Amino acid sequence: MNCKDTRYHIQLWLQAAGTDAGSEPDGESLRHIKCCSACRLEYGDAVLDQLLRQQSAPVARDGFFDRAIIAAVQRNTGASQLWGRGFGALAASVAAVALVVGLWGGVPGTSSRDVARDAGVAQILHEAQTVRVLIDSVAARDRATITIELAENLELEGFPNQRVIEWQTDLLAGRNLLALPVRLKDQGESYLDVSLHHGDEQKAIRVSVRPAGTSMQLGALPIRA
Amino acid sequence: MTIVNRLSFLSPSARRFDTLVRPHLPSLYAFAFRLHGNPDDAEDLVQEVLAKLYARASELAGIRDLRPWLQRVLYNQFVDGARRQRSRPEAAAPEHADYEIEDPTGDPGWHAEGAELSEQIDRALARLDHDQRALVVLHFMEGHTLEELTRVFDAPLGTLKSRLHRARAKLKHLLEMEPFAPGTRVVDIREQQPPADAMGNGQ
Repeated sequence: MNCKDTRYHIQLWLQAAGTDAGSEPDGESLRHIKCCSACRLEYGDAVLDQLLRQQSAPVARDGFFDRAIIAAVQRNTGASQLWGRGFGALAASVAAVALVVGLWGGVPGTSSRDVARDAGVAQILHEAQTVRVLIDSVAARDRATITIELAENLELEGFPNQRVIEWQTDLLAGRNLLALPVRLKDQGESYLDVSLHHGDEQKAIRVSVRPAGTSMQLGALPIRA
Repeated sequence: MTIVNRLSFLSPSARRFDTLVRPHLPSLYAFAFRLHGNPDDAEDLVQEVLAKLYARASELAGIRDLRPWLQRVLYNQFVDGARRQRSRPEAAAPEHADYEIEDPTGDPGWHAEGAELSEQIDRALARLDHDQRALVVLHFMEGHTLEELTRVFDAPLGTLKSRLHRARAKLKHLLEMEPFAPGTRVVDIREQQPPADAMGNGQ
């Protein structure tokens, strides 16, 4: 076998290797490669190229792209452009953040209130801070209703003196992030309730809010019906 | 993860930015990861790039082939960061000390399979110069032609070809991939007698 034929066979092998990882050039080609430095070089390059092409791409950690985009917007706008008119053109000063995980799973058509978990967050007095609620949904839910109910001493930025705010949104399957910029108005303990409704399903979570510096008991408050 | 309010609550400008860049983020992250060799620095790099790009969101909308453009921005950001790192007195170590993972142990020939081989390739990539590494990643792993990459690296085709040649040679050396070197898969047939007419040399 000559160099031309060998290189042709290397190309054939490369094409086949895309679908059959165990393949390798035929014995005659390999014998030629062993004896021919130019073809050895070509073969080595071909093997390397193939290995590199077959490397799987690194995958980002869950939620990173969402976090990165939000952070990019916040760094450029101080969060003033993050929230659109639908949720109040809220110029929230996003500082310390609490992450509260809410689960919304189970069998469609059933209540999943029993899997709710309460959580707490410390707030700096008179300063808007964002409480983020993660909603894990096993399936996409169109026009789910989200209701926020606030204690008297808590205010949602952009909604002064309004204790109940309700709107509809589409939840996608997987984790959905709900960001609520809230302001604690006095030194007392406070809370906000987040309720989700979709068809027969409902789910509620209470987030206890206390001034920063005070101790907090997570999960101490009862789940609202 | 999906932002509940991404569609309904993000401001129009934030939504436009999201729509423009999101399809390219997996590729950008993969590129950043290959450049840095770890997820934390990769996330920082992508985050830094997005923060810079947001201010240029209107410009992004006018770019016809956005992905190579974004990759170029990310690469330049990476190079700037590497330069700053080198300029610090405490960072006087060899260029790739940050990426160096322990040398392959045992017999690291390219007969290795699966995850082991993948790790060997990652380690070898980390030991390339960053311009070689970026070229290898974008050409072989992201599938860009060298012609396309002349715009990403702002370098002529000939420069990229010779850079790729050097990168290949170094990778083969690092992976101990010289055909018929001990430990390669080809060793399986070494016991076979080559036919007399196969003893030519590069004809």
